[in-house]
Amino acid sequence: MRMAIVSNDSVKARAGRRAKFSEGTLARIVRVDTRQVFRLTVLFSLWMLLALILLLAAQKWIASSPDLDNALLQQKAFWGGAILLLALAMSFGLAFSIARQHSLAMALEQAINTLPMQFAYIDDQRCYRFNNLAHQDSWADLNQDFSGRPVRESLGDEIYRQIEPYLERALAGERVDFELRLSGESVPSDLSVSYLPDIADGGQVKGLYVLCDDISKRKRVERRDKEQLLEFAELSRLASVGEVAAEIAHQINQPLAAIAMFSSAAQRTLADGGDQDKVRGWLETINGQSKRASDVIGSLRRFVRPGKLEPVALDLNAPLREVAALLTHHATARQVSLSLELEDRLPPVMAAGILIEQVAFNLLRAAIHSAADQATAGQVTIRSRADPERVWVEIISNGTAWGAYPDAEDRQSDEVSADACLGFSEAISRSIITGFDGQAGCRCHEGGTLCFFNLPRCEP
Amino acid sequence: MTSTAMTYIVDDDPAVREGVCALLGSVAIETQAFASADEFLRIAEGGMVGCLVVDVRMPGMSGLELLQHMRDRGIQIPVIVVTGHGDVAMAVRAMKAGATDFLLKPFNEQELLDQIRGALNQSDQHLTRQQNQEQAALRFSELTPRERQVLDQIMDCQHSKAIAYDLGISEKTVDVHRFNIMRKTGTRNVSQLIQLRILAGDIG
Repeated sequence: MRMAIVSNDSVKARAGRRAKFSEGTLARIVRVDTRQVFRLTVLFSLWMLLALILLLAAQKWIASSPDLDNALLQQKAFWGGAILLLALAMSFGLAFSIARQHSLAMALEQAINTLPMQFAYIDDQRCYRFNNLAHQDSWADLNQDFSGRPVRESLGDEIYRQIEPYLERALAGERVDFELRLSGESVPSDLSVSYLPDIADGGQVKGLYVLCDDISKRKRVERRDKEQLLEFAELSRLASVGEVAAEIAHQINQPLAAIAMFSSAAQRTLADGGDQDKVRGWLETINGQSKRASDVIGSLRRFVRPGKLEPVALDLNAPLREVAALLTHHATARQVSLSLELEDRLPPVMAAGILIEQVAFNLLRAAIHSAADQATAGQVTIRSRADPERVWVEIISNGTAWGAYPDAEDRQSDEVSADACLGFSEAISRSIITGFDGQAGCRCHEGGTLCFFNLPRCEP
Repeated sequence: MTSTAMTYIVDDDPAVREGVCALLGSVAIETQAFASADEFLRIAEGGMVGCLVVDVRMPGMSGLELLQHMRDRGIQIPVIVVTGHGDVAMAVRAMKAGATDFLLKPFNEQELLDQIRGALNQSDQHLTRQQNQEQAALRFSELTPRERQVLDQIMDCQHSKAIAYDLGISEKTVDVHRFNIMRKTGTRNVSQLIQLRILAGDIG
């Protein structure tokens, strides 16, 4: 399906095509109030009847008069003229009222036609009763007036299948808002559609108003933003790994050094015909140490793996454990002890695991640096918990936020601004968290700092 | 004084610690392992013999801090510093702090063995030198005050006559003192006596 994007240029172009709607298709959906018509008819008839009676009475009076003089004739002619003028005025009033309503309908139609938003009216028989030019332009390959034609025929079977459930709900009297994605020939289009039911006084649905907006541009921007966020997160993750590369190398070197020494010792002992039981024990240690090295590489690989941005039901404890494992040595090297207080059976949240890992990494690294700057022994705790609405992750450091981030403006306040505390790289963290409808922040906690983020619980 | 040369290993990683012990055990080098610098300092004393293999990064006291503490307490065994992520700056700091050698993990075990053997030899030579020095000092400590005065004059290359004149005693008495000094220190001539005096240093 090919669709034209409605722009100001196309609005101008449409002005020249106004003649097509000169018959006033919008007027077709203006329902005449039958009771009002009845009342007006009765009133009009009464007036006419009265005028007729007066006329007849006047005639009789003239005929019965023995001496018909000019003065009387003039009087009767005056009354007759007055009655005729009255009838004329009433007719004019009616005609004016009808013409005015028609003009209003025309003006309204013109206004609706200049709207970039698509507007249409579909009756209870699922036929178009009215559509503005924007709506018609959107379906340019059809290039025909939808008015009076069934929706299925106008839009085609494929699209009709997509909108039918919504159409049914709207015709049942419910307001329906949905987004429709059409696979175009070159680029896909996205539409935001609202169906507003037209309900009569008796509750009967007479039809529905269709409001439709082309949101392709917005959707493209959203998709691009998401892609950029992912790219940024990827870069940020790789940069993070670079920062802890030395620690990771150490973590891998330790088991490798142990393996080298145990294997060399085993070779020498076996060559000298030494204690084989001892060698067997060493081989077991070698096996354990090779697993240890492989675990470090595994956790590193999991951290830098290309991931998806799409949110999935996620147990927040999993990324927290991964990140804690990756940063353990980073903490140890800075004389900071790291402890995990994770709540068991945490309810899931909707989020992308790799992005949450990035957020946790940034926060935890900041917390470790903050704790390492303390004169006393550094202590960082990672805590997860759930309340009835949200799942919380709190990273508590006995260091002060402003010690690590001297750009904090208000050092006296208990509530440290998240921006000031989290620094530049954590600005990504905040957009990631808010992107998943979460909240992020930071506050003073028992002389140290508590950085937190939370995400809404995923409905079971 | 500890008579047996021992290799002390200080590393917080149990696998590495045990690995070094196993490797050295396989070439019959005596080892003693410690999980932290504090544990080692608890048993460390001035006269200990052997060498120390220490990791730089450890929780609590770091390897380089340990070197500083050892220097302050006069513990002079050779130290081999090992690290998982060293750079030139760290190597320089280690050497300045008094390390004998600097090894990067994962190291070649032969390299470690060679360095440990070299360190133990160094320690052994140091021990021998120290023992000689102590023996020499012991010999000089047996001298009487008058004999010490005569010895000082001999060290100044004075003849017996000049010494007798300076100390206001007879030349014959000086010769008796000189004979007693030679006897007590076990030297046969003045040149041996001077060597021994230099070896003994300020002691005695």
